[in-house]
Amino acid sequence: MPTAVDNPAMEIQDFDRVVQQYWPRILRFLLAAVQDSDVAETLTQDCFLRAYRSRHGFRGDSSLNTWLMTIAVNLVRDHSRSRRLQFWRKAQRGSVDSTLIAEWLPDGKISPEKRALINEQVQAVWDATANLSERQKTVFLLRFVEDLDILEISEATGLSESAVSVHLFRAVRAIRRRVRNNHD
Amino acid sequence: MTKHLTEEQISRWFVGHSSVSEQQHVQNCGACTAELGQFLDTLEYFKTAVSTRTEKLTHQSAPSLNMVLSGQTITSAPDPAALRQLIQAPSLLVSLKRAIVDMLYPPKVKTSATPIEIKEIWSKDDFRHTRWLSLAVHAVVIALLVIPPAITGTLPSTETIVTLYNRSVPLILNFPRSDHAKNAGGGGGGRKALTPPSKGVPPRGADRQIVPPMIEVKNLAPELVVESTVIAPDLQNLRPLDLQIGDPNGVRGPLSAGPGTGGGVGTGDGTGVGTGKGPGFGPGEGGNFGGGIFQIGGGVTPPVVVSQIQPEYSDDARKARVQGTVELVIIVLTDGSARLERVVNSLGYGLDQRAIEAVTRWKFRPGKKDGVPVVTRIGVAVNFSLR
Repeated sequence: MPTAVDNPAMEIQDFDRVVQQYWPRILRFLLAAVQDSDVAETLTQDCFLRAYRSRHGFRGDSSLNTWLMTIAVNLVRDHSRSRRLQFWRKAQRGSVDSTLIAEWLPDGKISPEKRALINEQVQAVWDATANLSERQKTVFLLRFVEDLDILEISEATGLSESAVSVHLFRAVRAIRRRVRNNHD
Repeated sequence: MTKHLTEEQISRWFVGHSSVSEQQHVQNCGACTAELGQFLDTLEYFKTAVSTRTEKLTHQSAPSLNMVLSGQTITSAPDPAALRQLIQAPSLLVSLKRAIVDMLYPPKVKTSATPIEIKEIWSKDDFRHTRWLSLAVHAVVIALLVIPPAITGTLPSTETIVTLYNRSVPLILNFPRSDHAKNAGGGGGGRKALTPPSKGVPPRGADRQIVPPMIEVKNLAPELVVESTVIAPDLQNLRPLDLQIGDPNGVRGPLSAGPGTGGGVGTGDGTGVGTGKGPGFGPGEGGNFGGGIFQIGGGVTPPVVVSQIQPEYSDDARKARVQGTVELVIIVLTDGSARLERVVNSLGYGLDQRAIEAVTRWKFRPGKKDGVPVVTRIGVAVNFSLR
């Protein structure tokens, strides 16, 4: 008998459990994509709201995670488009988590010098991600933050696998360049 | 394949599109492996940082379906078009108008609070009090440093008096100063024994030798008793009869005349005692006593101190109030340096070591014989006194 995990279509029936299980993942992706905690939480709520409304249309062709990521990717795209048009709101942009990595490293387990070096590298990746194009950023985050493979990324973004590879290659190259420049 | 992966190749590796040769190179090249590993670690740290931040946001508001649906009107009918709808937000024109109005007419905050006067933390300070207070604190500290030593008295000072003297041998072998002493003389002997010569004292020195020194007396009832001697006129003192004849530099153990030759005692050759050659005593040759190390006198001038350092009192001796004299026998070499031969009189409490450390650092003008620097043996008395 197929279980809820094996059959995403069954899994989605217990939507409260779906929210509790997938909320952190969606929020994590959106937080890294928009780099604004308030907007990320809002978009996460919208994502699950849309998913709830369209739950009956989900056939289980892809995993539930991929399906939710698809919704989240679309929300990010729409949000970016809206932000570009509202140029006057850039000055009033929400808090950018500049202290993203200030508290995550456990104290006492690494030396202060090592901690500072890691902080610099993570901040460099964070800043470099913000400067990527929308597609490069999405593909990069889905691959290295959400651990999706090329096929899943292709399903979530609607891009071909070759396009995903190209965007991923460019994103990695740009981030490595930024990290290297920051280290130098 | 180049020496290391290029940036393009590294980026391609992360996408999973590296060639077979590139993958093999990564397996064999430590530098490239380290480069890839370092970037992977950076990405992992980045992911962990974002996850940690997400967890904090999640804990602030526990996600649930009710939270998602809060304030929303849900219909029972499915809405396939829901995915294509944007978030309900103010229109662009409305948002633009609102921004222009806020810019031209910034909203004023009305408050009923009335200002109250408070003391400025950066106001001009009254330095008089702080100045005098600082002065008083400094005076107290200085007084505490100066007054107690003046009340309790000074620490006991030490005095060390160092004298050189020509005492260099034990009493039983007391060689008085003599202008006629042949210091370079000596003697040796042995009976080809398998063991080293046994420790003892040489026989009486005399002008002539009838019987050489014998370790063991075979004939316990001789008809004529003849004392064994060594030819060393300056060795005047009588040998105490209860002391065994032997080599002062020998070893304690079974009686042995030593592996030397000639019939005497020692490792040399002759009818004397020692490592030398001849009927005398010592490492030299030709009779009499002495050897490589000269005694003062007999044409040998004493060494003269050209630089010295005073020995210091040890803490243990100072605390125990120990006073006295440490007597050392030192050898002054031809280069003017000194080395310890033995401690004749010890005081303990670390004073012996202090005396040795100081005296062995002295520099001498070496003693001379016939104008030629020679190695000399002298005694040094180091007096430690508290006053």
